[in-house]
Amino acid sequence: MIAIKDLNKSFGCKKVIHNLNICINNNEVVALLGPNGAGKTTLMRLMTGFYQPDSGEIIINHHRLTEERIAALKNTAYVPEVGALYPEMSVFEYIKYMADLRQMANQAFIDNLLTLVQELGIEEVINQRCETLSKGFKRRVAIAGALIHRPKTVILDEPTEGLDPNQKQSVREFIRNYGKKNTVVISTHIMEEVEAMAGRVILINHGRLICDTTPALLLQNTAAADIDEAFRALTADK
Amino acid sequence: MFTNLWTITKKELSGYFRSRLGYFILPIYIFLVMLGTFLGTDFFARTNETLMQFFMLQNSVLQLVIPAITMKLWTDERRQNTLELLLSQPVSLTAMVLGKFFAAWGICALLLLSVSGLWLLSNFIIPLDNRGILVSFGACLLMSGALCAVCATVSALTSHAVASFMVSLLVCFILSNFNLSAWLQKANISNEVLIRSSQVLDFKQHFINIVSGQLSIANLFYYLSFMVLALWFNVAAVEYKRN
Repeated sequence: MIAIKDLNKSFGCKKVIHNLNICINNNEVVALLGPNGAGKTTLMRLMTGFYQPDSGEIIINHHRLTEERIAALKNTAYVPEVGALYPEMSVFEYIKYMADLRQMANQAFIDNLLTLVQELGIEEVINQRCETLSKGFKRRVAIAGALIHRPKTVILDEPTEGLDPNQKQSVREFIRNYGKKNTVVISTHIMEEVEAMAGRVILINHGRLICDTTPALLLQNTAAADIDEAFRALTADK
Repeated sequence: MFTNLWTITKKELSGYFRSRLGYFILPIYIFLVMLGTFLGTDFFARTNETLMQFFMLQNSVLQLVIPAITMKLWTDERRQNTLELLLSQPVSLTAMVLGKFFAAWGICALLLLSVSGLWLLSNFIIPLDNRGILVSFGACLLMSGALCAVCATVSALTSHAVASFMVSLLVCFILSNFNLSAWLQKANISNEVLIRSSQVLDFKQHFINIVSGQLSIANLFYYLSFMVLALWFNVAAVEYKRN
């Protein structure tokens, strides 16, 4: 569960998040939408404790992020938009390092690793150095590293970026299944992804909440033919 | 906290040898030490029982090598976009800073260990003050710890490894060679408090005191408090840079 209350964030005199209030319940996949510069990545970085908010609070799994950072992040995982792999490490070493940072027991690590490498299709590269991986494998390895401890809350920034259509399909299916028992927040520009994975859409623009609804209601309320059109209708600068 | 600290230290230590940086630093350090030790000095003279010149040389060599050891500590996290990932882990910033610092300090210990064979060998040739030499190795370790802490902070404040190396080199050079009390005397400033303070804060003087057999609690306290202060700045630098 993630609760965001009266959240504000500025960089210098530029305010990027304006008084945001959002509540994300357990076991749902939420798509965070917005045009470039809307504040999606900033919001995700705030939700993972990378940035400190100017005011307001974020509660993750009943822990206040600013006061109980470690407890709040214990059951949370984040996959940033770019890179986020140590190039000189092998895939196994990278995932093991992530598991060690989460203080996972060895047996749990092995069990989860075996499941994850199979689900994400990264068995063939497990001993390969991260720098030698293709973009698609890098993305899947980053997801595997983040999910190795089976977190209750997952925040993914552009999870299918750089994947081919087949890989996209399998990662989407993986996220959809993961979201049945956990909270998943994905940031994406790909509207078909929203329909394929998310049960709820949160649209922000200029750091403000524009709408928070289901994909079906979004289409109904905007009288749009698809999410792409609804997105354009709601975010076009007048 | 200690488990995470050890995890980060382990990762950073192995990183030196994965990225081949360690394989460059080690031979360069040994070469510089050997060159400085045997070139123009009579190392095996019977009067060289504390290996004084060997340890005085460490001051110069370490200030060249430590910037290379620490330059990638934080700049690489930024270059590889892994800083965001690391800072969103349930690990305290103090553990991250200490983990990286101990890895760099560990490499310094390894470097000192690599030339300690010379000490053992010298024992067969000349009579040595082994206790004094052990204390001098401790002084080198303390000094390298203080330099590692400062250079790690520089790495956290800079964006590129090369910039970090250059700035660290300058900082180490100033710390190890700038004699404020002599400068004050040259400038005819005779304020007793100022001169005394500059003597107390002289980075190199504490090292010379220990190596020349005048070890005191003040020397230990100086280097330890220097490390704590520099690491505190390191935490503040990472905090400042991420926001």
